[in-house]
Amino acid sequence: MKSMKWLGTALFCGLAVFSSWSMAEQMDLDEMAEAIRNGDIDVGKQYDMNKKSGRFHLIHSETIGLECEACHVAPKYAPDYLLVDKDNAEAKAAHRGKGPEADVLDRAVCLGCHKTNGPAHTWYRTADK
Amino acid sequence: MTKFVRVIDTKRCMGCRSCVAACHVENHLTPDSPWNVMMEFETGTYPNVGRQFTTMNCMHCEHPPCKLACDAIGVKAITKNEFGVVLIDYDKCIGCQYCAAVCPYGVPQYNEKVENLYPGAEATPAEDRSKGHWHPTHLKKAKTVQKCTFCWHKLEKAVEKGETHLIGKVPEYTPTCDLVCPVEARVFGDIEDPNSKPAQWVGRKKATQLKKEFGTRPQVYYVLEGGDY
Repeated sequence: MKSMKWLGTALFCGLAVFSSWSMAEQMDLDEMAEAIRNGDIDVGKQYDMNKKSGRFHLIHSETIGLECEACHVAPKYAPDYLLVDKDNAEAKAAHRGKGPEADVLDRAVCLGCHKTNGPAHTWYRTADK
Repeated sequence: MTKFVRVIDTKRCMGCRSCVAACHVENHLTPDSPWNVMMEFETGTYPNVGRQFTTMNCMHCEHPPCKLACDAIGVKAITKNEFGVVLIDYDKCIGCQYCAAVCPYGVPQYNEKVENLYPGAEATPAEDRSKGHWHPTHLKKAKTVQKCTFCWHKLEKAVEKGETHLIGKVPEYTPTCDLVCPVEARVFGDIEDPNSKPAQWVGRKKATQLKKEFGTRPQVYYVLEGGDY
């Protein structure tokens, strides 16, 4: 019984710490997104997908600090993943070698921040269904 | 109000790729940047297996994320006209590929270089831009992005002649991929017209849109095994 109480307390504390940490992370992300939009954080004006100098990767990997694997989720798409550019992307990925440099991306990852009321620009108007 | 949509019945499609070939010819295919592709995969487990065919092109979304991304960086190369057709202006496109990055359907395709149909060989007569009238959507440029236009070069003629009511009903005003299907697995027309085939298919066959979770509201509907979701 005593150990159960201890386990409950530990779980409660863990949850509290986790939720406050998530909130802090979320606030940081919101502020960061706002600062990028306002130009307070300089991410350059080079609009391309170049990994080193392009604004796209500067924002996501350098500024926000996303790991490559967060977006480059797999070396190959699932057979039933419906994507027009699938063959091209896989060919490019194969050409560059498997791993985080592959062009195989899951757009569902983008949905987390780029949905309606998300911290980033709204690309996906999820509230208008 | 007119809203043109395409409905594709995946239960009828047998994966013959007539629509893919027709698109290649009609829209002067650039190798490596097809506008219409056939997705093919197996379903089920042995011995109860099946083969699923899904032909995909631009969804011409009501809320196109490609346009939002393009507008957000001030390029404004992507437009959505009053008939719901999403088009890319190659002269304005800077080739940043942000549209390709945000499209959940992987539609916009970056064109690294404009190659002949037979790379390394001379252009075929059909590729000679000095002959005949080439629509701006067919004057593809290197280092820009391109995609399906719902055969806008055909729809535009109907608009110019005031015959939009014939779009999807006569061959010259209907996207070529929708004309050639041998099993009538795809139709095109005005969804606002209750007598049009697309409107009837959406209602009776329970056609639905792909990846609805993205809130893009595509104007291409699919009849799927199992109905709407």
